[in-house]
Amino acid sequence: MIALHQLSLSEAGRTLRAGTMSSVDLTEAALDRINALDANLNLFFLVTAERARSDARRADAEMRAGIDKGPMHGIPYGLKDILDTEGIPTTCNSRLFIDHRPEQDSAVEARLRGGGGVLLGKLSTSEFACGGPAEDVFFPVSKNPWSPDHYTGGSSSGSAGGVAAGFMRVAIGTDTGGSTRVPASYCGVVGLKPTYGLVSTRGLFPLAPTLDHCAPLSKNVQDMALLLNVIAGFDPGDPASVSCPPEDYTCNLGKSIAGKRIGYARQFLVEANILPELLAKLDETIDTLRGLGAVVEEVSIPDFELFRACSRLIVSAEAFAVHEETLISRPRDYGLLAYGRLVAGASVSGGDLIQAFRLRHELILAIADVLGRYDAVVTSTAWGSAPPLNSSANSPPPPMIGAPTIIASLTGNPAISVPIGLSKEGLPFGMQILGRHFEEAWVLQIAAAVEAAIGFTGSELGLPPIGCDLSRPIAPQTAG
Amino acid sequence: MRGKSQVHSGESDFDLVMRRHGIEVMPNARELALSIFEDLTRAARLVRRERSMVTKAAYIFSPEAVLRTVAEPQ
Repeated sequence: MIALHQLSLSEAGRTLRAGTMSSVDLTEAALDRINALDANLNLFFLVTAERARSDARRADAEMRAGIDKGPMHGIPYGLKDILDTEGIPTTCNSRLFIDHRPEQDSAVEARLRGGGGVLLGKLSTSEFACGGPAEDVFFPVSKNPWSPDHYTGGSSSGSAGGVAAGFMRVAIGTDTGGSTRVPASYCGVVGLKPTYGLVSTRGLFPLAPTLDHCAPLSKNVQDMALLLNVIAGFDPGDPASVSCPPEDYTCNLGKSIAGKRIGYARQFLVEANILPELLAKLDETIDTLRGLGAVVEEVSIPDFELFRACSRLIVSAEAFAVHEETLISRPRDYGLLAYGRLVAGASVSGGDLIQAFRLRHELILAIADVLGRYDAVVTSTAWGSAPPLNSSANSPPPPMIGAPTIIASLTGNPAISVPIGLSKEGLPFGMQILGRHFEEAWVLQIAAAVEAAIGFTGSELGLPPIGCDLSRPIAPQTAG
Repeated sequence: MRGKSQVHSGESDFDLVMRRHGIEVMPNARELALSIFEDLTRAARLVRRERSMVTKAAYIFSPEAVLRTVAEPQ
């Protein structure tokens, strides 16, 4: 018998609409699971239980009245605690924001709320999404549901870990250089960085505004497509938002990828010292894609160091501009890692920044050239599996290294991370699929093909070894 | 001393930059900030070296402009 937390969005939606289960049932099961498991994982900063129960009761009443608000109606979700929620603390994991209660919802929260979703709470992030882990910040470090001795990745730690732990099927994170896709890879879930401008970033506390994306995470690709149907769309309140016609992102799921041309940036990964075990797993997955009829060829893309250098300058300069005043006036209210990374941004000159924007444009053209010849480009999502949590707080953390995710962060292309299996250590690996601007439906199609062929997500293999005793079978409707 | 200026002996480039911004770096963060400063210096050097194209378009970024460029390669 399937447990409630394992129901996909479409399965849960069918059951809710058939009246054999209520949103209240689904929500109480999620809250039970969070109460039982999160004390050891630290994935939530705040559980909004009363708000969730109220949302769920409303959704049940609406459905009984024949109102259908779409795929998120009655479905629990979580939000990274860097996205504004009206009247609910939004801390950015910073002492500077510990009492911050926004007056308005972020655009993505407004869409989810309007779509009848059930907000479970605010999910962990590294301080101001600057990366982690760090132990001198307000909230404790998140732990990976696959192994509590390992990091979730960051900065969307709670969003990726929460989906992996079965607290919710979908969550919202943010992604500036890989902050959604890397944790998705480390936690064995799906993470999408949409095309820059597709999902509004209004109400997202900025890290680097020309690179910030609002980015969803999900247990599987179909859930992702359904979620994207709800959160994508033009927002006049976001100057980067792009007006484009509404699209059904599920339209290509399940379709054959035979004959599609896929570029495999293998040499790029080898030169950047990818973990050999991950490269071997990626090679296996490429063989699987060929077995599905895709035409996969190795392609050359610009060196990782160029993407990294360009990204470092832009992120550092933009983040410094955001934080300059408080870095000077309240330095002790920052954790060491965020402070060190942010304050160094003062050294990026105007000339450096303009040169970085110039190089960014050239890198956009280089990737567009490759995507003129191929339907998609694949890489690994990270360089390996989740790193161990280091308890020795004495050694200073290294500068940001970056991951292959930086490519699409800079170019604005859509890119998805999909699980491709486990390491010998039992930790998830992820593959990144990068497509042309606004071709999310095609990126999702390849990801769904990989998911179906590998069978990771739909099997026991895709479930972290936690909380099996909490599986709550589908119950008859109990809500009034 | 790491980050030391070739021109302003006695005060490092790092310290000069921070002073210009009115920032007194917290002592426990100095090592980390300095290592990132050096990383950014290397990044800036690399970005300036890779100058294959210099046009006005190359100095402008907007999502709409990117889409036009990608749709109609020059």
